Amino acid sequence: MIEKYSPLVSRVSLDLSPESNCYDFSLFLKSVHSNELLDVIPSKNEILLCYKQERDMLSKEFLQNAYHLFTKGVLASKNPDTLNLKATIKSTEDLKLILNSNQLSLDDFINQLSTASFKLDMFGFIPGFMYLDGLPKELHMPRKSSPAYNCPANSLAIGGQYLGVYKYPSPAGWFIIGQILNLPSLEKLHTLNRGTKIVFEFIYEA
Amino acid sequence: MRLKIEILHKGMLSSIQDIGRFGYKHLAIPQSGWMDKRSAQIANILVANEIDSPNIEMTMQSVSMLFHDTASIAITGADMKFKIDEIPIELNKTYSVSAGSKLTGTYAKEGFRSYLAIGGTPVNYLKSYDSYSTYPYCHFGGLNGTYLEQGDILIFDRSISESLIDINTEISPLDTDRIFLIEGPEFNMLSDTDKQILLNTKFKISANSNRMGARLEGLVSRNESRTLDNSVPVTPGTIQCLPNGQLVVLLQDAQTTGGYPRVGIITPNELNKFNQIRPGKTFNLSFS
Repeated sequence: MIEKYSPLVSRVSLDLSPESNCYDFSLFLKSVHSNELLDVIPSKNEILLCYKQERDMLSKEFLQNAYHLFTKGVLASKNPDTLNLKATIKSTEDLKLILNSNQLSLDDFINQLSTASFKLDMFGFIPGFMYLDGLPKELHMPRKSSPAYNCPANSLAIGGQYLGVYKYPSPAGWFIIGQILNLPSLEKLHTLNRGTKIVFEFIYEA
Repeated sequence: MRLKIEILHKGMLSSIQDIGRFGYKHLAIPQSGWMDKRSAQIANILVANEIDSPNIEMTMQSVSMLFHDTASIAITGADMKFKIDEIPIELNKTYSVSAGSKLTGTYAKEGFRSYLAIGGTPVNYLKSYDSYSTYPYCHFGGLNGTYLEQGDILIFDRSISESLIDINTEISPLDTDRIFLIEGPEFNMLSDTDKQILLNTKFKISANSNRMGARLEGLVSRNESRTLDNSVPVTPGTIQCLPNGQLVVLLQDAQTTGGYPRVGIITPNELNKFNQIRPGKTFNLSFS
């Protein structure tokens, strides 16, 4: 449900309760209110609605009702797909920092990563960047104090509670642990639904 | 009737931009588009193009180009001492350029970005996600999805306008000494001391900046816990505060979500001004 509604000029920020499906609710709003909305930016618990004009802004009550409608199963029938990815884990400086900070051995790290079940939580940040749910708590790592200026395309990284995939080169506030070897095209990635299972085959490169 | 232009010198980060890319941020497709929309739209008006049609953004250094056919052009924004065949031309005016003429320029003395509009409709620009704006990281828009390069050929259909537009333009210069902002959602993650630093510091834009974000020189205090548990939506103009105390102003090519506190927001009109500030020039931040 919508816990906070913060209008600002032609934008409204919505804070949703933690159990809410922010990403799919964003897509729902975008499809239903495409005439009024210029853009919809979802994140884990917050949605930013950017309106074409201030006068088009939907009220909190209207959006609350829309959320109830949405939760009655409008998007509940999607079957999760599966995406198989092959990734190398590399002994990067970032990986060493994670091991140090979380007091893990390399074997522990690889073992925990290999046995975890990941699923796509949302797209965000830059094109093709996937937030993957399912990272074991022992591997969580806060973002860097200052983002690195660049990380290579197809990097696999850890940031907070997520495993993340950088499809394209980018500044990176997350800790790079390896490379994906078979990441599909951007167009193909955009066909994946939230909840898609991501099955990894990890290869360790010393 | 076709118009052909050849890039002789690419300048610095010169690119084709338009109003930007909207409606795809749920897929993390960045907005992109002009860094100084006001100047870019004035250039389009001066050559009778559609106001949101693409034109050429130059950063710090001018492009040089050869006109293979007659064209009408207008340049706005930063003054890079532009010349047509060695004859100086003024900003904010429409000029007719003859076939065989060359447009040249130097470096911006005041301001940082110039906009060159060419009368007509581009024929060989790449449209990606409904926009011609160049986003080089993913090869979206522009000529080939990248910044302009020497030898590039721009082709236009001149069906829209061949005549000069007589507009008596008095374009007031932008005051870039003070940039106004509003409080961001995580403003109160700053200590009272940091809030004072934010408002009393003479900031500079670091040279390590690009169209994605401007890192500011002039730190607030270091605080390693100053990150968010989850990524949150961000837009061009969002000011993030990093744990090391550095402020980053997200710009037109910015990401759509981020995990650092949003301590301030520069509104779109103010962002036009901000994007004309050269690295190294000092400015203040003030609440509007």
